[in-house]
This record gives sequence, structure tokens and C-alpha cells, in this order.
Amino acid sequence: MRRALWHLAVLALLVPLLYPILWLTFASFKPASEIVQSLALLPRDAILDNYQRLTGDFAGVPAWRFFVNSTIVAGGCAAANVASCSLAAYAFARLRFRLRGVLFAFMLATIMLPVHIVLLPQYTIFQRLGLVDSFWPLILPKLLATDAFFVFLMVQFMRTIPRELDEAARIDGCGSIRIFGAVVLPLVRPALVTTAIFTFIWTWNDFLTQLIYLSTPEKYTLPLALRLFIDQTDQNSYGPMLALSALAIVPILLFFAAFQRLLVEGFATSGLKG
Amino acid sequence: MTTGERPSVAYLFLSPWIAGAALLTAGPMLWLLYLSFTDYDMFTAPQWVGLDNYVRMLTVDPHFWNAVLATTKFVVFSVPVQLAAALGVAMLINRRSRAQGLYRSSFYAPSLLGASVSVALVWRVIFHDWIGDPDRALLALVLLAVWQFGAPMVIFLAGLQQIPPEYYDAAAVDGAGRWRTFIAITLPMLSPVIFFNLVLDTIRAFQVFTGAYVLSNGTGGPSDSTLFYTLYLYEKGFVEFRMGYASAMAWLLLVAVAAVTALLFRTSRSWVFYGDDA
Amino acid sequence: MSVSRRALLRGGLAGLALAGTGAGTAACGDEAGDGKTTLRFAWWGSEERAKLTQQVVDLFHTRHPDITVTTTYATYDPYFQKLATEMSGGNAPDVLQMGDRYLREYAERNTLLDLTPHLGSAIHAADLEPKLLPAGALGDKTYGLPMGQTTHVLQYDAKRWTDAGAALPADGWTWDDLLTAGSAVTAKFGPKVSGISDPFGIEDWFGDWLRQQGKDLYTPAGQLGYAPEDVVRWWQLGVRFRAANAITPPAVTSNTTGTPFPRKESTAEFCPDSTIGMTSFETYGGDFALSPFPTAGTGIGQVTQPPMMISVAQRTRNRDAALTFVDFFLNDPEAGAVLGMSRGLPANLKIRETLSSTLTDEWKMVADYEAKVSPRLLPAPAPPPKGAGVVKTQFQRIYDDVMNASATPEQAAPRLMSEIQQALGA
Repeated sequence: MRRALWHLAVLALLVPLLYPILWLTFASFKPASEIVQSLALLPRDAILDNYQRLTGDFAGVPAWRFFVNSTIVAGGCAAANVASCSLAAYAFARLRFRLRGVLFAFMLATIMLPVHIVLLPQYTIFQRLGLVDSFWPLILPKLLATDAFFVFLMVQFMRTIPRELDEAARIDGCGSIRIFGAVVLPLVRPALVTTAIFTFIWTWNDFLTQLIYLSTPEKYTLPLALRLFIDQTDQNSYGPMLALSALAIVPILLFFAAFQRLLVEGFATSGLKG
Repeated sequence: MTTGERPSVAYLFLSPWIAGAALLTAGPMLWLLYLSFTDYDMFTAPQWVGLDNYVRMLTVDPHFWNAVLATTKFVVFSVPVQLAAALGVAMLINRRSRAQGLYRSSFYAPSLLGASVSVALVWRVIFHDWIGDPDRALLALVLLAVWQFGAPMVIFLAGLQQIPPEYYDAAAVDGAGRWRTFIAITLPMLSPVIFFNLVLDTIRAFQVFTGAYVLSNGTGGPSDSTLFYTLYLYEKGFVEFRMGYASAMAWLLLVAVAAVTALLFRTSRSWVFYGDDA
Repeated sequence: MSVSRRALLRGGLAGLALAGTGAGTAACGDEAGDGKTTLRFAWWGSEERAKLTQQVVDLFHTRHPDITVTTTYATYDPYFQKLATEMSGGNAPDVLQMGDRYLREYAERNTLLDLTPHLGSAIHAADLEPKLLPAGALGDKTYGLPMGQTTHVLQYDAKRWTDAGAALPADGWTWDDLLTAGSAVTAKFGPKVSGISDPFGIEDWFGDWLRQQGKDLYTPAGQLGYAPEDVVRWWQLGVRFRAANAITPPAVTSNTTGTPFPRKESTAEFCPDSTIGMTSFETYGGDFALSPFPTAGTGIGQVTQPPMMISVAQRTRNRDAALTFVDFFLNDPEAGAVLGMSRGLPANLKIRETLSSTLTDEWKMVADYEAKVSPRLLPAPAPPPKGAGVVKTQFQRIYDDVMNASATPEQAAPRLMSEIQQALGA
């Protein structure tokens, strides 16, 4: 009985939350004129035109290419963030060094400037490195742990681990590197998984950075292709735009559904009990 | 501190981060600080103007204050509501059930869309009457932010997983009720994660951009009611080519957000508990 | 794709110092080893235009095998953000699409090449509609050449107008006639459908109205061309239209999902004629009519305008190839046939003549309208001054208050003037 009530409560919350997504999905089967004119959820007469317009190519570049590019960029960024941010976070959370306070404050400050304007000098740097119009300006910053959000996230998770654990390991003769790999990392797996998932999804959706750094249409990612449909003056493009949006959610939804399982296997199943 | 620890080990762990700071973040930040004291149109050399940009912003530019007001309102409304929703849902679905994965994905689904143009289109259709109304347009954007509470929710869930089950067992043995357990165990154990979400959400809310940009077609309208700080900054920099002014706005934002963050850190000493506290 | 340590170091120093602005070296667009020249061509537009543009580029490759053109494109706002960033970073595209609103901003900052010395030699310009040329000229220098032509238009639902007993637009009709018609339509079909989409917040229509009275938004020298009283009169006209229920209510006007007319929430709307095929045509299936503007004095006050121009970057390393490409894009008959009206009615008069046979219905409607109205159109205005884009936004922003009745025209106009002073001043 209580179980049924619980399911009911969850579902009652989900209905309004998922309504906009449902609307978007249904709208992707409507003709353009109906999208802007009608609030109705169901299409008057469902059409596939919006999807058919996506099956060809975009000025010579096949649509699957954008999916592949986005996957490379998002996957690369996710892997890079997990590796680099966990290293930096361990230093901030567990090691003592003179500049710790200052550097930590500086790290947080780096995400307080609006990204639009920071991109301007960063573009010049990548331009001088000759890396513009490649995936490097998108992935290299992640390799160098410039994503303070995730460094801070991991710091917070590492700090919830009782210090006696590493003390014990240290007495057993482990150095910092062993402790990091054998004790800390397994314990913060939820944070690592979170980092990977978020980085992947946020990169998948990020428009601005990819717009600035990628120039050749063959290197375009999904968000760039998606935006080609958003000519504000062009209502005909609303349909294909929604169709592409609906399609673009599918891989990241699957991605999330596949990896969210790892989120539950945190402390409880890691075998180390506090 | 344990013996045998050399500070060089710390810098070894930090080396990628230090390289990133030196190569990609510190330089641009300082360059923008310099630009904030100049007149810079992006294409010709910057002209030093001292404090001019800051003075103009604070004394003669009415839109600046509209932007500060709209942004402050947004931060004050969206951050607490979003965090409460995220924590509430995380607590609700954090129980053993075969449906849990499905529920988690479903609650996260709105966040998968990001603040994309498609979402803006949906929002326009649903909140049709609000978006043209100066009194309610901001509310539609707050709702958009709250609707996408997936990220803090997932972080809360991860945090809940991190709490050793033995603590709950002990509480159950002591006969503590559900509310008591929440106050005595969940909240303090979760406090580092709550703190993290609070700080990052606040920083991000101050920089809110995309939703307002696409919903108002970049104008921040109606009547400046959704003219968020970064929206106005973007307009100054990239539409008006007043990059010096935009840089000054950016640095002022940094100082303001840093002050708020410092304040949060200060209060955190009394309510955030770390496992490594001596 | 490997990054050498030296390169990283160099970039780091560059990042810390970043002294010179725009002094970076261009990474692409250089002579490749095989003696081929690579040009980068940047433009804005949607996926549809991308297809046609790519076909033209392919055509160019067959004619000029020694030149490779790479394209890069995005829609309008992102395009200009990327362009500004690239130019600022010293990596300008060789050939680029330019908008009238930005031309002076870029040209006066020495980023665009003066094409004047090449007109008549590298670039054949004799067939371009002469009325369009002032849009790309500053003094005696030419920084942009027109790629197409548009003008403004009033689109209206003739059926509903007739049903409501409204008099249809005719030669010499006035704003008062428009008011009467709009109010009759709202009376018949309201409140869900209004007569006219509220035009009073849009600076472009204000410009047409000014020109009907011998004024303009800006003088050819780039000074403001109107007085505060003009703004007051224009917005007072708006208040009269609102009082007569002739225009859309604020909530409908502010809904930025398309515009009211294609949503069938109004029965008439001013717009640039180049957008009709993308908006109203589908909703109405061609069942609507086009008319020139009503007048407030003499003439219709409408101008010819290039929706976009083609420019060459001043720092291009491939000037000759860039000029060749510009000439091809503007003058080649085959390219013209491919492009059709995707950038407005072709600016090239010879291509325009051959066009009509290949047009789809929606573009034929526009071409017919242009043909009818062209003789009455004024030449394109000179590029607006720096800051004009801001004025346009502010015009809309401040009108919001008049529209929502939180300010009278008399209160709002001085606020606009002070914004204008700020935007055009400094």
C-alpha cells in the first residue's frame, strides 16, 4: 500500500514536468503552421516531413556526421574531466601545501567571469597555437582541469570521506599516489560518474564554444547544425528544428539511463565500510 | 599532518590544473581586467580611460541597474526553489525500487534539453501570456530554471549514496523517527554537497543567459524585465563593440559573485560538516 | 592533431601578454604546398541557404580549379559573434557576408577592404542595381556589394478584410485608411484576431513613415535624421490605433514565436518582403495579398535594401582570389540561377531578368510585388552610424512601455532621445 502511494506521488510529480517534453515530441510531427498556432498536444494531422528533411544532408554534410562529431567531443571532454579534475581535487581536499587557500579561491574565481567574454582572449590563444577549427580547443581545457565546477564537486565528495581511512592506509605504508588510486577514487565513484555524465551532456548541448572554435561544416557538432534551423524569420524551420531536438535527446537520454545505474553503487557497494 | 609528505606531491597532482591556469585562465582574466580600464572596440588598439567604464556604469547607465535588479531577483527566486525541489525529489526517489532508474532518468529528462532554442520555443508556446508581460516574464524564466533541477538532484542523490548505511542502522537502533534521522544524520552528512550545490547554483544563476536570450530575442524585454546581467554585457560587447565596458561589467560581476561566495563560505563553518574535520 | 610543447608554451606567453590586438597570424587561407589557394568564405543563413551556397561554391571550383573555397556559416546572431571574435583574434575569413547595420562598424575599424579600385576590373559591377550601391559605400569608398534586394511590404488577408467590409489598400491610401480598416477587422473577428500587427515598436517602419515626410532615420553623413517631436507623433499615432482597437494587444505583439500574422492572430502585418516565403506563405497557402505602405504625406517612403552584402577582409592574404570569388558570386548567370531568391531578389539586373521562369510560387509573388513597386522605391540609405543597432533595440524597448500604457509618448520620447545620444555619442 505505501509502495503504491509512493509510486503515485512520483508519477503525479512527473506528469507536469514531462509535459513540455511530450509537447515538443508531438510538435515535431506537426506542420510549421500548426506549431505556432496551436497549443494542442496532439497534432491535427501527424506528418513525417520534419524528420524526412533531416535524412538528407546539410549542404553536403550528412546528418550522422554531426552525431559522430558530438560524440567524439563530448566523450573526449568527459574522459578528460574525470582524469584531470580528480587529480586536482585530491590535492585540494587531502594534501597540504602553502598556496592551497589562494589557489582554491582563484579556481573558483575562474568560473565567475561570463563565458562569452572569456572566450575572446582564449580564442586568441588557440588561434596562436594554430588549433582553431579542430576539437583541441574544446578538449584541451578539460584535460587541464579548467572546469572548476567538477574540481570543487570532487573536493566536496572527498572531504566527506573520514580521514581515518587514509591514515590507516598510510600506516600500512601507502604513499599519496596509492591512497589516491586505491582508497579515495573508489570511494568517490558517484562523483566521478556524475562528472562524466554531466560533462558529456553539457558538452553535447554546448553551442557557444563550439560555434566559436569550429569553422568547417564537416567538423560541426549537433548544436551547430541544430541552430541552422533557427532563423528567427523562418517559421518553416521550426518543424525540422523540433524534430532534430527530439532526435538529439535520444542518445543522451540513453547515455544517462545507462550510466545512472553507477550512481547508486557508491559507498554501499564499494566494499570499504567506514 | 602525516610525516613523509612532501609538498611536491601536491604540485604533482595539481600540475594539469596549474598548466591550465597558466595557459588558459589566468592570462585571459588579467587581460580582461586590463581591458576594463580601456576603451576597446575589438579591432583597434585599446585606449586607456582609467575608471571611466566603472563610473559610467554605476552613475549614468540606467540599464545597468535594471540588469542588476533583474539578475538579483532571478538569483533570489530561482536558487532556493531549485535546490529545494532537487533535494525533495532526491529524497523522494532515493529508495530501493526497480523503478528507481526510470524515475531518476525521468526527473533528469528536462535537464537533458539544456536551455536550447527548442526549449525556448516550447516555453513560448506554453507561457504565451507571461512572456509578453513585464511582471511575469521573469517568472517564466525562473520556472525554466527550476524545471531543470536535474543536475543538483543527481548530485544530491550521489551524496545520499555516500552516507554510510551503518549510520542509519544505528539511528534505527536508537529508535529515531524519520524526521529526527533526517535532521541528525542526513542533513549533516549531506551538508558538504548541499553547500556545493548552493555555491555553484548561485554562481551559475548570476550568469544566467541562454534562456533569456532566446526567449526575448536578445532584447531582455519586455521593458528590461529579463535583461539579465550577462545579456546586457553581451549586448555591450558583441553588439555595440564596447568591449572595455563589457570587461568592466564582467569584472564587477566577478567581484560581486566572489563576495557572495565568500559570505557563503563564512556561514558554512557553522553548518557544513566534513568527514575530515579534526 | 598533436600539440608540441613549444607551441603550448608560446600560447601560454601569448595568453599572459596578449599585447597586440588582432595581430595574430592567419592560420588558414594560405598558399598550400601544391600552389592552390584556399579561401575562407563566411556567411549567415539557415540550412536551406547552405545547400544553394554550397552548390555555387562547387560550381566555382569547376571554373577555378586552382582555388579552394571553404565555407563557414551560422545564423545571424551567432554569425556576428563568431565574426567579431575571429576578427579580434586576427583570423578573419577572406570573403564574408556583411549586414547594413554592421558595415560601418567594421569598415571604420579597418577590417574591410575598399573595393572601389577593383570595380570595373576584377569585379564587374555594371549590372548591379545602382539604387542598392549606397548601402555599401562610405564616402567615396565601397566596402560591401549588394547580394540581393528587398523592400518592405504590407501583407494582408484580403478575404477577411473584404468580409469585414474594410476598404482594400489602393494607390495613395493613408495611415488613417489603415486605421479604419484594422478597426473594422477587429470589430468583426476580434478579440482573438486583430486587424493589424502592432507596427509602432519597429524602427524600420518608423523610417518609412519619416521618409514619407521628407525625413529619414539618419542623414547620409550618419547624423540622426529626426526630432523628438517625430517620435512623439509616431507613437501618438500608435495610441490612436490602439484606442481604435486596430492593432494587436501587447501580449500578442510580444510573443516572439514568429509574428501575429502567420499565426493568424492578425490580418495585416508589415515585413521585409524577403521573409514572406518563410512565414506567411505556408499558413495562408498563398491566399493573401501584398501592398506598399500607406502614406503620411508624399510617396510610400520605402527604400531598396540589400538584405546582405559581400565584403572582403582587409587583411586577406588572397586578395586576387577573393575578388575573383566575389565577382563570380555576383555575376555568374549559372550561380545566379542556383541562388534564385535565397538572398532576396538578385542584385544583378541581368540575372534578375532570367529569374522569373524558375521561381516557386511564393518567390514569384515577391518578385511580382518587387517589379510593381521598384520604380517607386528610393535608393538604399547610406550605412547607418555606429550604434544604430542599439538605437533600434532601444526603440523597441521603450515602445514596450508605451504599448503597456506605462508611459505616454510624451514621456517615452525624451527617454529614447537620451538613449540615442548615448548610443551614437561616445
